[in-house]
Amino acid sequence: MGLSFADIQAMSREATALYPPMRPPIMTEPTEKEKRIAQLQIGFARRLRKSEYYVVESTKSTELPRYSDKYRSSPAFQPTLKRSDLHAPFFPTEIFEAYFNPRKKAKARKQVDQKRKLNLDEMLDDNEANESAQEGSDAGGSQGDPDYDTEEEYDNDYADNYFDNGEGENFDDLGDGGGGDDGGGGKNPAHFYRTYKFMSSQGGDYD
Amino acid sequence: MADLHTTNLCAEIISTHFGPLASKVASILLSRGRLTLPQLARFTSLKPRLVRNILLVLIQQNIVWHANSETDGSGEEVLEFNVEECLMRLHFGAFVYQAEELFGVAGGEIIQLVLDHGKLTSPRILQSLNAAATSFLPSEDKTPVVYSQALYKLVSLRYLKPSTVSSHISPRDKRIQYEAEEKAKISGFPTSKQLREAKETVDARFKMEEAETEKIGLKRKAKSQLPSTKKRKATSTKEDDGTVVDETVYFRVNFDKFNIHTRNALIEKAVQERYNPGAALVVRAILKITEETQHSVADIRSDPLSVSNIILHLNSEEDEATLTSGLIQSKSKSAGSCVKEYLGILSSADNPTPTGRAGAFLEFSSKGKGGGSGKVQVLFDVVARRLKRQVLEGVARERHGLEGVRVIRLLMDTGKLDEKQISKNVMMPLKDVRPLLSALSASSLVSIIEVPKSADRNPTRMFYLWQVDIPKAFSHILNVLYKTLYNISARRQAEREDPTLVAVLNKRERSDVSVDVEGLLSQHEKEVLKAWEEKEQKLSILEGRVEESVFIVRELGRAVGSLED
Repeated sequence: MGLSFADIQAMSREATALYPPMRPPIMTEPTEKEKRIAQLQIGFARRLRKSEYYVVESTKSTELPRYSDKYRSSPAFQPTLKRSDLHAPFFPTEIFEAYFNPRKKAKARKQVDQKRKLNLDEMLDDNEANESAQEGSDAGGSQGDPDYDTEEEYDNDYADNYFDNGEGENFDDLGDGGGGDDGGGGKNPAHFYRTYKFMSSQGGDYD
Repeated sequence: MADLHTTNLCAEIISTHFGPLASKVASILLSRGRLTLPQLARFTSLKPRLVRNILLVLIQQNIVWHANSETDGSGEEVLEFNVEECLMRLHFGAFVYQAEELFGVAGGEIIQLVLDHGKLTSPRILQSLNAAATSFLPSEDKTPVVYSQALYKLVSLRYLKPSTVSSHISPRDKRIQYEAEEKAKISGFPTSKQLREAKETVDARFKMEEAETEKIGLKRKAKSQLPSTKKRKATSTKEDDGTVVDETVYFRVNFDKFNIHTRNALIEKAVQERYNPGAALVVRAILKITEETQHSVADIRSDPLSVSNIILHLNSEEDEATLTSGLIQSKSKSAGSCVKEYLGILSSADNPTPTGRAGAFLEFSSKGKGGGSGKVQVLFDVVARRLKRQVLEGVARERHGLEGVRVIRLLMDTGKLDEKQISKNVMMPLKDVRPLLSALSASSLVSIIEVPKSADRNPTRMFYLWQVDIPKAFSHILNVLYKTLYNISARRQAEREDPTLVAVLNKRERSDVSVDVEGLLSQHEKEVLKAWEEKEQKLSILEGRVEESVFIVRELGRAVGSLED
């Protein structure tokens, strides 16, 4: 298949021309119908350029302002998309609202984000999901109150699985009771004081 | 998602119509597929507000679908690009021309307005057109009644179709959602039969939704609005059935219906090339009479039409002259018998073999009593297949010369052949056939099938059969055509960026010059402008011609569907 060795040997060793002679194809004369259709198609592009569907970005120009600028079209002259022209049900609500009400809906959007983050909690185990969902709904309910109880949530997050208050620990076999407790307290250096205080009420004195 | 050439072409179309910023958004959506807004903003590195603006424009123009992705639980809004709609934008000029031919200047203006805006309600259409009309001198053609009549005709004949909320939701997402609903109904472990039934239910649901949307658009007139008897005589007879255009519905252009006219023109041209103007006249009459019942390009054949109906249609003087001059007859015959002769020729009645049937344009349906009063149907799929084959042979002729066409024709007629048999049938020596076959295979027009003789696939002991793989060949041809269209568009852009031309165009756009072009531009500038406009027109015409081939390969390919041999 393809070229055999004899064929290759028989081929000429000269380089082929860089631009071999070519006869360019000739375009036949257009009919009236084709000309009219071409004009209509060009017309579409021209009308769209001036319409509100052509989106331009106004950039800051460092050139000096000129007299003829008032005659030239700039991004400021381009018409923009208006809410009354569009039928809202056809568009995705978030994008539509966010474009036409940029400031007012910022809080409402945050609320939706919060709820969405809380949805991730549902993917945890059932028990934890139930608890955190409950707290989540509580937190969501007290949305208007910005300073929701940090103390309470903090305790709920960390109390069960992070901080080991050492109630069940047996210090009898430890030479230095502070070692284990320091280890327990050293887990979370930011709250060292709290744990330290907690520890000192229980364990013996240590250095 | 789309392949490279389609992506480039769509991005270029969007850039011509909506600007380079919109083109950036479009190319990211095309190359990366379905995206959410934050992802899109990140990939395009544009400001989110700008991206939202562009997306609203593209959704309004029906180029982007959106959906709420429920399946991954986040409920975010995702956006997907509608490639077909974007490629249809190249046909807009032809649609307006067709509307002008069928419904007059008023119809053409309505279609132009709806295409400009994507979709519009009827009050809005009439308002803009009447405002534009009254700014000129009033002429007989531009009264409000003419526009509303034209609008009614366009809606009732389905040239404008209603646009609903569900047509903006991406069909892939809809399909996933419906399938999930169907599968949820299956209890226990689903068997393959149940899954197939679920798919069929989903397909049926899609068709039902489409049928429902067609019914919107025209509503019955309220009794209080029925005009008094005096006015009824003045208004057109079409409003007698008591329907009127619904004013709350948004209408968009139904591309399928306009494509039907393009297809009919192609069929007529094919008949004229194959036979003569008389035959073309007969076929044109048939297609015109059955136009109203043709709904889509994917129809396989037209509705049956009786022969007497055709004869009735062709009873003008010049029709008779064309008909009789096209046939050689022993004695002068009437137009009616000429028509019957032509119908016999067009349906290949004298050649009932498969080859003859593949070359037929019509068919006599067996319901009638016979040739005299029988019914005739145009075979769209047969004609489509033949037109596509002509395109394939044309491409082969351009690239590989006449020998290439001989090989392609042989392989298409006889299926799969070994290279020795090919060289015998094509009457060329084997050493010429071999490089030709590898060149054809490099351009995806033919492909190889390996049939092993022994259990181990030893290359020296295998049959290599060559065949023309039709779907592969046509998808390659389509890609090449898209690349050509992209090149034409890129050439237009490059020509536009010529510095002298840029200066002249900017000067013409000035608000004082645009009002008084003749007076304020110098002679040299006017010449530059004229040269540019000629180039622009030539390139547009060229685009239109390439689009014709794209139409044959893509749209007519739907009529043929899976009937490929």
